[in-house]
Amino acid sequence: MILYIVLVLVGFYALVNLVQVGGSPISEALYFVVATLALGFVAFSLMRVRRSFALANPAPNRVFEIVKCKQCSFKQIKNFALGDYVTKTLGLCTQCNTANLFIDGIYGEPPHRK
Amino acid sequence: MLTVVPLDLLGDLFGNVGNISQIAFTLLFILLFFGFGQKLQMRQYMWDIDRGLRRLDVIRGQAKDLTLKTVKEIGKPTSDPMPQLNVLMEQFLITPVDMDPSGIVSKFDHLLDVHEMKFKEDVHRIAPSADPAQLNNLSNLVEASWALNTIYRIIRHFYLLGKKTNSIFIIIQLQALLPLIMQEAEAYLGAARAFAEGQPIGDGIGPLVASRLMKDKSQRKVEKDVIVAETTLEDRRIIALKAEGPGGNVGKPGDAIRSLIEENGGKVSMVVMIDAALKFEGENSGEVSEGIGAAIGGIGTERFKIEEEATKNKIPVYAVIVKESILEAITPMRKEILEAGEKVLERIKSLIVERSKPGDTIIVAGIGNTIGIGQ
Ligand SMILES: [Zn+2]
Repeated sequence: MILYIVLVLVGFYALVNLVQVGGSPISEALYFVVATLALGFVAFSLMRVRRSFALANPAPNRVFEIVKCKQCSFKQIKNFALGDYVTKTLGLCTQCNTANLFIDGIYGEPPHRK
Repeated sequence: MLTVVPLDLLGDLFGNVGNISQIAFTLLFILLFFGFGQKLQMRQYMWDIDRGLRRLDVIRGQAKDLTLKTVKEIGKPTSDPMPQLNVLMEQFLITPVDMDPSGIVSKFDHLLDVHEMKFKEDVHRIAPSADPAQLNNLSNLVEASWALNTIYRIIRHFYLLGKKTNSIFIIIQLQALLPLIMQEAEAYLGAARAFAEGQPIGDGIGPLVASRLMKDKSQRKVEKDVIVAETTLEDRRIIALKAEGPGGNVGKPGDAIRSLIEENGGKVSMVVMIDAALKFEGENSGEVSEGIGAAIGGIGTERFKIEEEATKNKIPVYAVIVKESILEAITPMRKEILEAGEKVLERIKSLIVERSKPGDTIIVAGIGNTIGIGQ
């Protein structure tokens, strides 16, 4: 931490010298190099920190189930309910009233794609 | 380092000396950069690891809270399950000596059996009201929580060790591995959520395909936690098997395949294994590919049994795999993986048409965790 503060101070000091004091072209060039290196390094480090913080807490997946009928072509997609599983029967089909509905598949979708 | 500033101020006071002081200032600056460069870098790595470690701590805390909540909801324990859960979180398994490797597979097998039995009993004790399927889910959940706890402990160990010994090599290795470890930890957290709710995970594609084959057929149980049903496909007799669902379970397909082959007097013309496999980066999830050999993960005991029995009876073993990432394998099954199920069935059909004759007996094994998938 102290190192970074020192680097920022050195960078600013060099920058101030460059703008206000001036001097020979060589010393100006030196100040310029020092300022860019010091401030650039600190800025780069800060960016790294920000990037790792961007790893935010992943939200849970949204999970759906595909419900089908054994007889007709009835198909429905609904939200996953606790206790459901693939092959579970869910009672009579509302469309043909002859066969049972069952869960054909369950799938999850990631919360947000970046 | 701080002497740099007054030196230059002095330089300004003495006019001509200014240029010299500027050069000195620059030299000092360069020394600071190169001389302390490694130190700076190390400090930065330490920060990275420290942040990662804190995140790992948060993740393991979340998983543990979820476990505790689910245990209380489903298991309805009479006393506080926390102390027993803590004991479970720290448990370990001592692997057999491998200096004399002959017979090590059965030792491993025995060890895993004992481990699983004890683990389930321990979970049952803290969740007495859970039914068998829920108990399996809870065991999986506790296991995911345990994995996160273990990852955290290992990373913390090396971090503190690196800090204590000031060893740049420990720190560099840790920092290099950190992104992969974080990815894995987040995958485990996703897994814990899926296990808590009993949702099918990507690894369940094998059992899912097997359950499609078994649909509406008469089923029976062979060996431990494995369900078998017979069906016909392209005029061949298919014996399909999967772990018993819908609780989280992988069963012992090695034992099941062995006893099925023995049941049929070795007259099985091929074994087809369906499993999820880790994809390489850049490959598409849900891609299906086929190969030869026993497609089954784990420590290797089940694979050994299958390979041994297949070799003894000269039965070819084919593998049909669905590619997915580690994250997709243990979090709720993605749509593209679910849809790969149909493609797998097509592959199996063309495989048996090409490689067997009508009337042959073929074993189709759906390998993987059957959580959220019945039969
Ligand atoms: Zn219907």
